[in-house]
Amino acid sequence: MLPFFLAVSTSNPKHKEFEEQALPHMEVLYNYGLRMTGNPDDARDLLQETFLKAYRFWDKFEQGTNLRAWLFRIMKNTYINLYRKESKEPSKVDYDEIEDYYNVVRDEASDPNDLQEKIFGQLLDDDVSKALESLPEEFRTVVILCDIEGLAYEEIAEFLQIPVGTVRSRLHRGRKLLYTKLYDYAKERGMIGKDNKNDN
Amino acid sequence: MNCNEFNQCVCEIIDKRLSAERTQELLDHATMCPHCKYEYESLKAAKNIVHSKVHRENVPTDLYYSIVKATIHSPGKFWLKRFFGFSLNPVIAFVVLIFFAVGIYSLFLPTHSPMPDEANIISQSLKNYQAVIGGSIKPSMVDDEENVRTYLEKEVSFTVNVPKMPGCSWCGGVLSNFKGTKLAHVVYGLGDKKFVYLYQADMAEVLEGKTIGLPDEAKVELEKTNWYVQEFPDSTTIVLWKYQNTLCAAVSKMDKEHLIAMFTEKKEWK
Repeated sequence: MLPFFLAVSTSNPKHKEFEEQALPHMEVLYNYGLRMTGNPDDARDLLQETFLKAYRFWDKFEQGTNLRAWLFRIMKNTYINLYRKESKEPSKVDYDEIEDYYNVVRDEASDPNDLQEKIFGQLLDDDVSKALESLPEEFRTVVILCDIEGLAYEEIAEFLQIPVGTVRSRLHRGRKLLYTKLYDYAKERGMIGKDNKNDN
Repeated sequence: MNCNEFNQCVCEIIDKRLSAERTQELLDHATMCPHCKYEYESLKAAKNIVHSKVHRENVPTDLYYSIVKATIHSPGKFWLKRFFGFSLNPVIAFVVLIFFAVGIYSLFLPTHSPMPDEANIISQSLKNYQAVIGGSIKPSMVDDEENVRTYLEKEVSFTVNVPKMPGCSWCGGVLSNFKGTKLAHVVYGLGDKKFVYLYQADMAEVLEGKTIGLPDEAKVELEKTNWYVQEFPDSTTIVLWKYQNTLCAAVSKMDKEHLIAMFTEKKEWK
């Protein structure tokens, strides 16, 4: 049996709603926080701060709208305030440079199927996490939400308040950039030899 | 079909968002165009590698509870405001609340005082389990199971349960003393930083409830069925049962059926 004061507090409709509706989204938000901050301690702080704010502003949440998107926006703003105070503008990426480098990789690499199975498969989980964390934030966010959390383009668009077409193009660029990073890691670790392009 | 059109849709092919006909039409183009084929294969490789190598994590149990405690179980100003019609300083509100709660208890439940959290076996077991995961509790007795059981039984007043656990590695045992009540703890590893933690206490002392005890609902359920199970949203499960004159509490991150099954066969070391 709960102590008396706890029993009183959980009978509050606000507490009940928050418990039933908001708490089940904790895991998806924790994982997003983990990938955005890159370490469990910061992810813990981010998740706590997010839920405390969500609880404080629960009255502002419009029932019937997308709660996960609302919580996600709180987390994203909290992340910006806590970890990106110095720069509130999205990081700028010279996409032409990525494209040029991607073309170099394409010319020197063997079949990507071959790369994925024989070489990328040997990369450590940490290497892949690091490659993901090194992506500029706007690309990393869509890759995390789509490829790890498995969300639909439409839901990602709602979370980020951007058009679906922008989700598609960020995903395209994010995956391309990730591929070049993974290729670099594989090359650094000697998994890709100089004569690799002649393998096929 | 041209390369530009293919490029605009390549992620949607990978994410299976297009019709079968449209997908086939685009892939037919890729078979004729090495650049588009490369684009498709490399982006698909990037998606697959992230999906297979970046693992989703469970919310740590202690973090889950700290959030629950700080929000829905906080005796905060929200309901007080509704109750009193104005906001109180949270510290004053808390003190008022405690006095109020104690007053109510002394009026209506003079013979029954609420069990402090630290004396609740369920809370103790969950806390200890977290400490095992975090590495702050390490079994001090790492001899074989039978020797550890024999040693623990010399020290405590109850039968110590050290079951054989197929698929688990034996980690060891610990003896502790909580305000004069002796407790036995044993730990098994499940690999990948997963554990089964088994807390044991004298059933008579638990029922007496002087130093350690159980919530009423757990006591009733144990009396009725000999078992009590509680699952938590972070996938932690606790199973309590009576073993001779012992109360056992097993905690692990596995579903209740699996956890109960580990303790229902007769496979003790005796």
